Amino acid sequence: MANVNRDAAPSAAGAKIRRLLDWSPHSPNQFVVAAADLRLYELNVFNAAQMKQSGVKKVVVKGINYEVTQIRCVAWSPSTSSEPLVACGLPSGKVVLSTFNGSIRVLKEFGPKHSRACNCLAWNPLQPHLFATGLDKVRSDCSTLIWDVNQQGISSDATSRTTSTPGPAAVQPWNEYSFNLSPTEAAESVSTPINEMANSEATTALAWDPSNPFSLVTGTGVKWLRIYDTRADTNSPQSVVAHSRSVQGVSFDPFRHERLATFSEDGIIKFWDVRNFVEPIFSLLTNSKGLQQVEWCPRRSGVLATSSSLEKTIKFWDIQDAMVGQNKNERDDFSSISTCRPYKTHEGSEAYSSFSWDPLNQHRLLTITNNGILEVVTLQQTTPIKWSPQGRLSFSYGNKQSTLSITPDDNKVPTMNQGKEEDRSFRYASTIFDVSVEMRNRAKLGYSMDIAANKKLVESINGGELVTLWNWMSDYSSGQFVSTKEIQVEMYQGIHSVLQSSTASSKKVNNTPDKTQIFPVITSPQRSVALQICGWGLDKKDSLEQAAHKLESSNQYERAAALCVFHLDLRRAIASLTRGAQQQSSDSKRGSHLRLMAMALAGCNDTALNNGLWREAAMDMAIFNEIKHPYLKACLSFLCNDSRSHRSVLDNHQLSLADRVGFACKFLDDSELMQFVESSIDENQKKGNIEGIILTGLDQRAMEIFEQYVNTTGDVQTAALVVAHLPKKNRDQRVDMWIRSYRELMDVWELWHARARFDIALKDPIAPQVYARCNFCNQALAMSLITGRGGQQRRTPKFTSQSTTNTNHFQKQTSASCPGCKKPLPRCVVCLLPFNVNVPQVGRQNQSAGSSSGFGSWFTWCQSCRHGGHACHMMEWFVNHRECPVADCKCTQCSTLL
Amino acid sequence: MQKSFGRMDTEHEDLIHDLSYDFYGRRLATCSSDQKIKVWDQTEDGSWKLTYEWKAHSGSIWKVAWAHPEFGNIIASCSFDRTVCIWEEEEDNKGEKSWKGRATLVDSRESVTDIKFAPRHHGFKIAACSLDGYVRTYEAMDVTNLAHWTLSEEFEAQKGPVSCIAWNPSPSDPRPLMAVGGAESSVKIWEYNEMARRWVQLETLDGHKDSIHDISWASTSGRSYHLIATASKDKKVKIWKFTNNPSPKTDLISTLEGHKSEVWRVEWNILGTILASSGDDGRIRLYRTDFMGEWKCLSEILGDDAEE
Repeated sequence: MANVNRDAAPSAAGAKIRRLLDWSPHSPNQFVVAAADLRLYELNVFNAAQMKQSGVKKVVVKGINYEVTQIRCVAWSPSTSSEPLVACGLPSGKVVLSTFNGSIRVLKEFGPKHSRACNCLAWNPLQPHLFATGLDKVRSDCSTLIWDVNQQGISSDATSRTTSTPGPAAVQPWNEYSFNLSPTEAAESVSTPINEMANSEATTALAWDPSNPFSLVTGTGVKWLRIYDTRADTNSPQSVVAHSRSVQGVSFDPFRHERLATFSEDGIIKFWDVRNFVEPIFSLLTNSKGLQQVEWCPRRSGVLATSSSLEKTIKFWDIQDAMVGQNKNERDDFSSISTCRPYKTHEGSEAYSSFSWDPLNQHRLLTITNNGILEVVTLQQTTPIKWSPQGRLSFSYGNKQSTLSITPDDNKVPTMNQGKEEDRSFRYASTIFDVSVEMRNRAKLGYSMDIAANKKLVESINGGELVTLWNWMSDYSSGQFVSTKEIQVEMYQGIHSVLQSSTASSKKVNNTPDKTQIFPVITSPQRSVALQICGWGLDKKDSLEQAAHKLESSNQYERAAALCVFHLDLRRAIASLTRGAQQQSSDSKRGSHLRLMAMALAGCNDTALNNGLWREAAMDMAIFNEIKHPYLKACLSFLCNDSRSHRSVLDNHQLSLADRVGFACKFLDDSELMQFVESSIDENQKKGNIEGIILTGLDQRAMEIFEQYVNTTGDVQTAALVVAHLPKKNRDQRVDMWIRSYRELMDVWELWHARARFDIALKDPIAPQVYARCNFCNQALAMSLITGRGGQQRRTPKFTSQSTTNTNHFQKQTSASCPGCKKPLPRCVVCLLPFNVNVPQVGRQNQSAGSSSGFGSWFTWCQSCRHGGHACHMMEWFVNHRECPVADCKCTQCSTLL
Repeated sequence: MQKSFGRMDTEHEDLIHDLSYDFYGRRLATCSSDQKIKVWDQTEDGSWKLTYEWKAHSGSIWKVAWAHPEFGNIIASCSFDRTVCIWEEEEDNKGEKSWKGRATLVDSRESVTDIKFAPRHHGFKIAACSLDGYVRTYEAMDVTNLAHWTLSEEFEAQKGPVSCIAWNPSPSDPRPLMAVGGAESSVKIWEYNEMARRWVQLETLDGHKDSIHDISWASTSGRSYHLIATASKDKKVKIWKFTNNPSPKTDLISTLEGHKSEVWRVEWNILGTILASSGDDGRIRLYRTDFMGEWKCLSEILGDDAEE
């Protein structure tokens, strides 16, 4: 919030002197500090990157004027000269016009007759050669003096001024000077003001009316606030008792020139309207003891900053808001004054001596403490932030609002990479890739209820685990799994329940471990189905060949080899490895691994397996990470392992779940297999890994997996699309929630077509959106009764119980009148027939597509006059007419509806 | 310097206090201390065009909110002038669109600090909170007549100012829920009890050490729990996991301390997968979970970077 910089000036011996600070109204980032001497500084603002390096904003001394000392008040000249020109009020009552450049730094002195402290100083903003000073009280002399800088004075004794040291900046010739000041002469002394007022009264504060060059407002040492017209008799100003103590400050609102603020040590700020100078329009109790300075923000209307000599804070007030609060209250209710709070408080390390708003930047002000610590206070505002549904982040800063796009908007490419090197924050922003963006893109690409299309889609966008999921789904939907006579495979049945069906069924099928081999393969009808589900239904030679070839063609040589090894076809495995090695460049690590593996497998046969030597060598390779690829490692540990537990393969999570389950179905005995499947389900449930549904199928436990998946990834889309394939009776509350959420999302993204297709695929009956009731008895009528289109027979009202023979015929007979009160139902205004009667073709043939879909016989009506009829008749009517077809109905709104 | 985000000059004459997207993210409303609301529409090329602006209040406007589009093009605003206003867009005969004030709700005795439309499954309702410590909910009995709003409930959420409210956006919970924060350091979740016909305090989220500046309640979007983010004067952002099935239960799942200053606003994205926060340090931070499920700062954006 703030940048602190210690003032270079040594603290004055008498620490009593207030350090005064004033921003230059002319050159940005320059300001003066007045205390024991007068110094001109420049604030260097760096950009964000440079600021990070240096840490603080740098303040540079541009000029020092030692000749002016013990300054009581300071003010920049409003004249737009090229030279910095500052008026300083001194304890002697003198006002010194001084600058920083050149050999002479005190240009002119303005001294009163009787020497006393100068309290305040103000330039006339409209007549920049005039300024007023306010002095302490002295008997029989005026203490508000107006001076003209162009006044000729007497050249004073110049000895003290000639010793001035050259300034740090180059001496510049003074030309085009708007003041009649001679640079070659020593400082002139002017002792006669052009106007004087306020006899025998201390002037503690003064301000010129910014819209009236002759109006001067002063605050006196004894609670008076006076407005002088410098043209008129200065002895009878407009006056009002402003405060209970001396008026410490007067300042005009820079935005509303009729409004001014005064304050006093009692901590009350009062706001006055100069046009009605009787009582304050508003009082603000700051609750600050020793209120020292009150300044309007020059760039923001109605904002004031206050500091006090006893507090370490600067408070910011929004008067506009406070006044609204006041006006709503009753006149005498002063409670609102006390409830008014500063909208912002800046806490510093020590009490502030003075502060000054940056004239250009509404968020910045400069402060100085009694010990000379300069601080740039930047007022940060609440930064409102909002996400758009499309994933754009918007925020505002100050009164600018900026929109940050984190997604490539449909036709735009983000320009973030062009940012500069040090612009770190934005490069990070460019890499945000949220699941919401992903979902929206997938939906646009057609990720919906078509399983085959989804499979293709997720494969093309590299959907990871989604590929497994949709492969599995498509295997079921395409009828891949043929039910055998032992096993009935249901739709979306998981491996777990397939395997369970053996124990559940009364007919126990004996698993037949093949004892002839070293690796006994256990088979059963259930297992062969389970293997199919895993994509391992490869008992026949050619199907293994096919599967291996498919993997090879997708560059998964290791996996192909492992598949062959697990099917105990080492010859084919070696072929895969060699082929893979050939594809790699000769020196690649992968190629050498593949070759090494091929060698190892070539040396493996029944005798080798029984021989400890080969096994030891192979174990070495696996253990010492000679071979890193998980599938190759799995092969080796499988071949070497004699304990038959095969844990090293089953627990290797780098292998896909399908492969591990396939492996388990082949080599594990019944209890181990079920244990493995159970533990895998638990694990996937915990992690929300949707691959797990090959084990569970779409059962209750799959819902748990999906729940966890949605919780961790937020991808409600996939969950909704998968569970939507469940029959309605199997859906639980969560399923409904996912479907509902996803539909809502598509609505927000304006993907209406995708939403509609999803709804259609869901086959959820959509509730009727129009209801009809009788005009006379208000009884609700079934839609079929009105339209005569018996879409939903079961909705026929109860009274039809008497007719059991022909429902359709009965409806046509009775629905011309209300079944409740027997009064006639409205008829088509054109053909005057009831709505359920087949539409007679009036006039010329209008056999458009509408009539074939039955649209022509639909019932339509005007929203304003409530007349209506068959859609086709109304359309025909309004081809030639503008007014309602009902006689005497002048409604012309009807036609606009069609 | 090339910027990654577009900047546009809103020409508000004073600070912008809030901005709000409509349901589809195609329209934007901004409100400011200059007592104006401005409505922006996105054009074909993605830029934003000012379509209407009007002086809406006689004080700083703190918040704006869009109603669900099924109720029409409706904006609510709240202000320092102690009122809540409902605005509707209307089209005249020439096809000129303008925003018209439909209702002014004047029940608050102090500045109204926040307003939120209820999720649409609870009907056409709005909640407003105020410095007087009260939360008020209004309902439009007849959605076609926006001039008539009834003050349906009013309850004192805490002694002292209330600064922010957030409705539970999820339709899964049977009863309306609302999180309320203010000068007290705890956030309270209130539930509308239909039997008692009033709001009752359900749960307290304790953990912050200073007053609460903002609450954002993530849309559940299929998640089995609620995520609530809170921003506080104590420089921290906290993320809470809340479940109300069968009984209310809250877990503090993350405390984010990246801001070195007061945190003013928190905001979830549409799915509740990314959280954004803005602080007094002029920075915006984005958070999301890493693969371990921990909330981590993803990015930091300097708000005033374009000033140079």
